[in-house]
Amino acid sequence: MTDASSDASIGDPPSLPMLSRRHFLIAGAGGLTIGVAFLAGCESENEPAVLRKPKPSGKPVSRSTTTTVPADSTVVVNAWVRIANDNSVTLMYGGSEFGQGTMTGLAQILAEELRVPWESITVKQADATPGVSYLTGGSFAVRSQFGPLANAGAAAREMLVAAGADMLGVPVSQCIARAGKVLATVDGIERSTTYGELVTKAATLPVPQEPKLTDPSKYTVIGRSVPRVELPKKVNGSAVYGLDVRVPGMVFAAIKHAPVFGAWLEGTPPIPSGASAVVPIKALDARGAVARDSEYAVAVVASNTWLAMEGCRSLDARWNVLKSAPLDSDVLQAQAEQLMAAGVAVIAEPAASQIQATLDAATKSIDVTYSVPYLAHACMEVLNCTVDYRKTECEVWAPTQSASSVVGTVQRLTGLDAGAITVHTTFLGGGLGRKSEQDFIAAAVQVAMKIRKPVMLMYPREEDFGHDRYRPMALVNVKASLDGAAVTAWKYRTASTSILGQLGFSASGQLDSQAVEGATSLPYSLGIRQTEWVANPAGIPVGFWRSVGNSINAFAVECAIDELAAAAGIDPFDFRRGLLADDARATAVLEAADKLSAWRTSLASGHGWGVAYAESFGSLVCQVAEVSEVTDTSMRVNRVACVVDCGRAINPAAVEMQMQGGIAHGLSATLWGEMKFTNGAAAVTNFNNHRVLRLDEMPQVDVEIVTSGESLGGIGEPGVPPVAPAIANAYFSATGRRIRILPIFPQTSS
Amino acid sequence: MTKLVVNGFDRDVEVDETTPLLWVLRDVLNLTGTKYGCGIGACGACTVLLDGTANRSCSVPLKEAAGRAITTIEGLSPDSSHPLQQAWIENQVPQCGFCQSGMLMAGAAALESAEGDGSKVAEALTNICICGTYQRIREALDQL
Ligand code: FES
Ligand code: FES
Repeated sequence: MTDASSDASIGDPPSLPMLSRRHFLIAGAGGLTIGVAFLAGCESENEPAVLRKPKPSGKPVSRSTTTTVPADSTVVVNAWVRIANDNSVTLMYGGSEFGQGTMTGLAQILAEELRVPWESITVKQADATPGVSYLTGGSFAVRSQFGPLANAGAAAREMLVAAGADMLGVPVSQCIARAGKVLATVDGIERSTTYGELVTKAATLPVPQEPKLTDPSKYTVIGRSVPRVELPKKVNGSAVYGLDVRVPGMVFAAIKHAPVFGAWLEGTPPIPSGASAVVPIKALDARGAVARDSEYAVAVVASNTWLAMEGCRSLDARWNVLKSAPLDSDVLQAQAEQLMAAGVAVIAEPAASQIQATLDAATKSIDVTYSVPYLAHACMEVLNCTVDYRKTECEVWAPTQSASSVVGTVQRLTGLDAGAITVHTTFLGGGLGRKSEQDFIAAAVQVAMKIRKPVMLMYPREEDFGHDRYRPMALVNVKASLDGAAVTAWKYRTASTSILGQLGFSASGQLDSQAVEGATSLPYSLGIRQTEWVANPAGIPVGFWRSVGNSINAFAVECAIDELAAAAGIDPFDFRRGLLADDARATAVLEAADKLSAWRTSLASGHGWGVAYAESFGSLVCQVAEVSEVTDTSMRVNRVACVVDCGRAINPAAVEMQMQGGIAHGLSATLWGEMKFTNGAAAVTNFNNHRVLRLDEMPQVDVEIVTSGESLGGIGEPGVPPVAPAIANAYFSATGRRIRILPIFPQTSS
Repeated sequence: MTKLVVNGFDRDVEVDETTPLLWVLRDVLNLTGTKYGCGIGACGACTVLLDGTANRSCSVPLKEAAGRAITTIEGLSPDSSHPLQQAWIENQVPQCGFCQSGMLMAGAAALESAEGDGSKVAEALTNICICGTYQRIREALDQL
């Protein structure tokens, strides 16, 4: 890793925290509280480091509460689901909501198992809480929570039924739970009692650790497109995002980074007029410690955001540029090409036998190289974080995808115990992977520690673009050979920067699985196969961008498959059918996409269609795009047919929305998305030179969900990977020319 | 001191008259429903109504807003009953929601001048939505 990336601060490794066996369900009174408990001593490093002690009573407790505090103080208990004696049900939500509908999906799961109307559940954002909080990334929010939450709901239901049976004086076997009540027929008369009347009694009963879950064929709430719980707040301006946090006495700060990567502040600049303070911001090293001589940015503090931003503009800061050769797109490209040609690769999938001989002997083959650019996240809400540091306590409000990482960051900077740190997760105006990082949190904490007032630190849009953790650029070479419709050899080589490596989570020489995700374990029959990756040590900071490595590899794989189909003279659908013949689940998705895109057989001349298939985050997605009016600078994408098998849709409308959104997002990147670097600085600075799709450019997207009943797949990311290759293949079908470099219509010159 | 009329209320503010209206609304009046996305008039997240017409408030200096009727998302309706707000819920439009105040305000102004014709509103909506809610926006407008 070079200097430029050393302002990368640390986040939790992307291993996704799940409730482990060490966690167990526990009940408390004051209503029936189902919580998660675990032995503090058993924490592994990857688990949330925070151990919030149950707050003493008397405080308003919107945060974790429990009334059963075991005598053994090493057991930590957190409330998760609470049923009160007024029949209200509260679910504490430990993830982050940025439009995926996770809050709603989880309410549906709970409602199903608890047998209550889903509308009766109030979902509340939990503060960072061990066992309840988790990283919202990897399209895992619902997947990771389904089992534990279903168990919690079913356990509570069984306890309520046991209490109800007792109250009605009948055996448990004669009782059923329905619509928030326990019912039984006693002497021919139906009698019932509400959950609210039973909670006090139920809370004293043992918690079933393996309750009986509902048979999926009997689901009545899961699988329904219920309206999203948080939407009313999102149409009247009342939803509170990170930037909307208001704390009494707060001040506002804006960040100004060094003008080029790899430069450090020389002395503290004078306070600009209109501002009240300037605070140099230090980088954290890969272990999360403050690095010496590493002031990579300055925060300007003022009484409102505008004055803080104006202060940044007029700031008279001097920067020590440490590097002789500034990072520049042309140089980066040349270095990447060098690595592709001669770099030492890490083998991800070794060939079973002599691959070169097969490639050499083939009469039909392809040897093609694809190139994808660095991409900015450009979340609609810029990075920001509000911190109130009170010496013995610290309170943080952040639009974060990983509240537990935030606790760790605050601990490292302040030295406070986790119990003295409160982290509130706000709504996120987009996350896209960027808001799992810790740099913006660490910067805000440093400002608060210096000025000792509640402060919001925000990134002006130019700083958000200019100091992103970009989706890495990548080059991919595919060599493959054909024998008729069969692929006999497939050699895949890619070069890109390791995100995990930059974060210090994977050693050099080690395979970064994310660099090859979407390129390994392909469902296709590809004969002798080899997949390898060359680490690119370029100093541009890189990070997780919606679908991560899949966004790169699906493009290369699906374009190459299309090129092979053309070389074999076979229809792209039929060619894939042949290669997927052994995979019934993939075939079902492909067939559904074939039907859904029946329009493609009767397109007018000048129109083209393209198909792409990609599996990511446990979901299978096939997309077929139709394009027309292709010129050197533009084209129209008229429609996209999208078929997804995510096992089972908890909320079909949410799945449809995520597919539509993923397609829009992927489309912007495919057509125009690119971050270039000129003389060490980002070339794109704002939305005036970062083009994104607009309303009149949005294709008609038709989504069909295949319910295979297999394990749940994610929905937030899997819509993205197939977009670029489907569009590139459609471009070929319309023009006869291949797209091997993204974006198709570059907007900036380096 | 500048005198403003925001959502029907008189408000006096004590900041430099060159301050963009966006930041006066957000940081001085705590009306945080109006969003910052770009600061240069390129995204539409900050759209408010000035005397009924849509304006990107990041590019309107305070002094230009003085004395005009300013409507923000908080004042679009008292109870989320504006036809667009209802259509947005009906069609489950927002995802992250961050662009939606601006979408709704730009849409409300366009709806007024289009005399209720939803398809004309679509033409006028040039705001950016990174989440890509456009198809549902179109469906919501079609149902007006
Ligand atoms: S913030 Fe005003 S148009 Fe983007
Ligand atoms: S809903 Fe997220 S940016 Fe539009």
